[in-house]
Amino acid sequence: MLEDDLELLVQSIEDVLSNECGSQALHKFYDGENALDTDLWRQASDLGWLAIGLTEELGGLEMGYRGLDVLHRALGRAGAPGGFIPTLVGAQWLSQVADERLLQELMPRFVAGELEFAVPAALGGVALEERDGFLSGTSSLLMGGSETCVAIVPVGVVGGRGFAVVEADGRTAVMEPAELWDRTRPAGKLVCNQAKPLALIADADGAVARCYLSNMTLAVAADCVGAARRIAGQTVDYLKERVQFGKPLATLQALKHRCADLFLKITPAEDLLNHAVDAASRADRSALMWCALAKAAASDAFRFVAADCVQLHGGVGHTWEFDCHIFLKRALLNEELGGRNAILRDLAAEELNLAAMKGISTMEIAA
Amino acid sequence: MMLSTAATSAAAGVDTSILDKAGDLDAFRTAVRTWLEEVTARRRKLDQDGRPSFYDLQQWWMAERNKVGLGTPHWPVKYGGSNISLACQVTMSEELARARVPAMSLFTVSLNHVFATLSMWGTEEQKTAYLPEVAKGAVWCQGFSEPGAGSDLASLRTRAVRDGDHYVVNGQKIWSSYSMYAGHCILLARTNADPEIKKQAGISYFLMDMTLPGVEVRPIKQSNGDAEFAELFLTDVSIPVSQRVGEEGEGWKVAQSTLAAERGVLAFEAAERLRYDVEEFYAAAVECSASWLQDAEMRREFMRLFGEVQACRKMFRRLLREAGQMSPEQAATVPQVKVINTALRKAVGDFMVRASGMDAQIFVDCEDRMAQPVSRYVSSFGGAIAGGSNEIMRNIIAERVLGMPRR
Repeated sequence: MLEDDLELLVQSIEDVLSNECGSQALHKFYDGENALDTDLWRQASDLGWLAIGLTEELGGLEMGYRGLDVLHRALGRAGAPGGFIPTLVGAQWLSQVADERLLQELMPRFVAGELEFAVPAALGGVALEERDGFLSGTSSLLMGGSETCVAIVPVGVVGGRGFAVVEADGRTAVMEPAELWDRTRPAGKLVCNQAKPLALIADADGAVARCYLSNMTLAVAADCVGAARRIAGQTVDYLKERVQFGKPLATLQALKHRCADLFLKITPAEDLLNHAVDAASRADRSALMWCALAKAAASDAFRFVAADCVQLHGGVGHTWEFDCHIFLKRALLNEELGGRNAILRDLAAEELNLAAMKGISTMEIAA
Repeated sequence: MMLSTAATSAAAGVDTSILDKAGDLDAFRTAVRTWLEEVTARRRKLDQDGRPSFYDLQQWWMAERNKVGLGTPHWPVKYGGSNISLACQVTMSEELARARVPAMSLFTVSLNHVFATLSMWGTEEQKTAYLPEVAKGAVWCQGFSEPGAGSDLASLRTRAVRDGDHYVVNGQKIWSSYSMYAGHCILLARTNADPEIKKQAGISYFLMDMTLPGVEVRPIKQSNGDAEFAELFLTDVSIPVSQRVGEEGEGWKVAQSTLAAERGVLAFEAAERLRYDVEEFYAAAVECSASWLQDAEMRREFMRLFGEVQACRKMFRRLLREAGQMSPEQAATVPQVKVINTALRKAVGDFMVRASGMDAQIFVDCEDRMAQPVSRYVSSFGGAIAGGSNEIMRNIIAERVLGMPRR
């Protein structure tokens, strides 16, 4: 049942993206000549993509992490512009940690495509100050940047840490956009001056932060895998066409081995991501460890692939007109999102150690 | 989980209490696990009575498996097998790895390569003459590579010249694992040396009795100090025509089925074993507060490898799921699996050497050398070189999977 639904979903997503988000459209967007991000956003909400991960009670399609994984891979493959990662991560995260009242208020707007979320690019940044229920200060960089977004930001609350859910109103809570080298990703900082949050979510034991990490790392890992496969395939195609010394470059063994290596890097990362998605879907107790490792592996693979694809293209590879730089910049940003890969491996090491102390194996694979 | 296909009856004298449960995967797993606990206890007793040699231990283990019909579980009943489902084979592999029982290294060629080749290409006489013996533990070796024909296997020069109802064979073979123990050899030799024909078309495939006059085996000591493989020197060896597999000149095609046997459940079991190796290595490090646990770079490297080991296990499950309806495209992904799996083994060995520090540098003369990191690491190159080196595998990936032109 889910398998069939997922297959249909993949087909519909890929149809839309191949029609709307081809290389030319993407370059035009990079140069500010179209509004591909808002066009895709509209399509996404019309076709129900935004509701993929949520439960039926929240107006979702109940496709969970498997469905989100399919969507993020496709968006990565297309190099799609827009705030898909922060919005989908924000929604999934809130659905797991927010109270009923807040969900009733926000989720219908989100499912209808009327609301974007902004979430921390990574944890460990500035916490806003909270006093008497009002917020002040400037956040660290958030992903997602629409002027009217709902931001989920770290906050120092009485008795510990937590997160605030704040709607940018342009007065007390202002999203100041930041221009990134990766122009496909909106980002900004939230500047608060006595802003009244929609909700404060206490996180004394770090469970809310862990929830962010699982959602964010899975989304970014899927984006990495999709994007890496795309640019690697495109590079192989280019080498088949480009003729030097009277023959296609693709006939040269030195380059064949490099191309094989691109896919040899991607495959294990993809299998690890599959495992993390399964673990998260089952709410396995070692899920966060696998999510962190999957993002680190996928991001390492994508960085390697994107960089070598520039080199394999030769001179045209580092021009503005070819796609390589778009994917290289996406790969550089992806390494930072959800936490740098080294930090995620440290986190995974802590999780492994905790499991070992309890005498639990983290490597069981359900049939 | 109930499965529709239950195992059919096994050979006479076999305790079928485990095979009888092949229709219910959970019950099958429990039965295999219980049996392995008993076997492990008997193994301990065996060790107390004086450590058996590698050969004796392998034969003992084969006999133990045959007692319960699990020696050749993937074979048809007709030839001494149990014909259990792929799901049962996978479950069995998981349990074998978990119980840390020895891998059936001595029988790799006989149980997999010989079986795959004969079941597809052998005459009924060849099958009935050899397969039941193989099922009981007959050891076979492989005579494919030559000093001048490694990656370029098709350029092999060992000659087989037809003389009435025999072929007279002369030449030299190399990298033939366990041939010092083998009773028979699957052999590739050139029956047509005409330079005008394609070199693959001049090769034929033979089943050679290792006790024939003119067969000489010289062991090769490898980098870990063991002598697992050997050279074969063949001088006027007379092989009956009835021992040829396939037609004359069809040997290259026949050999493809032999090499195909290297994938699948065999590699799956090895990946499962790697899981326990890595888990044990980590548990031991925690137990003794190994210094590398305090080294951020080493810890991160371990976590990267830990993830890759799991990815590898996941990859094999994906592959076996697809194996039922494997199309040529899916089969073409196998070289990727080989490179990923063998490169990972090297990386894990390399890590264990460094993580173990000076302790790893001290040579310990014991039976299970693989327990020592340096042995594990230097041995790991074998996988990345044998069965088509990883460089050849990269050519195949580029040409067959990515469609890059040969020239």
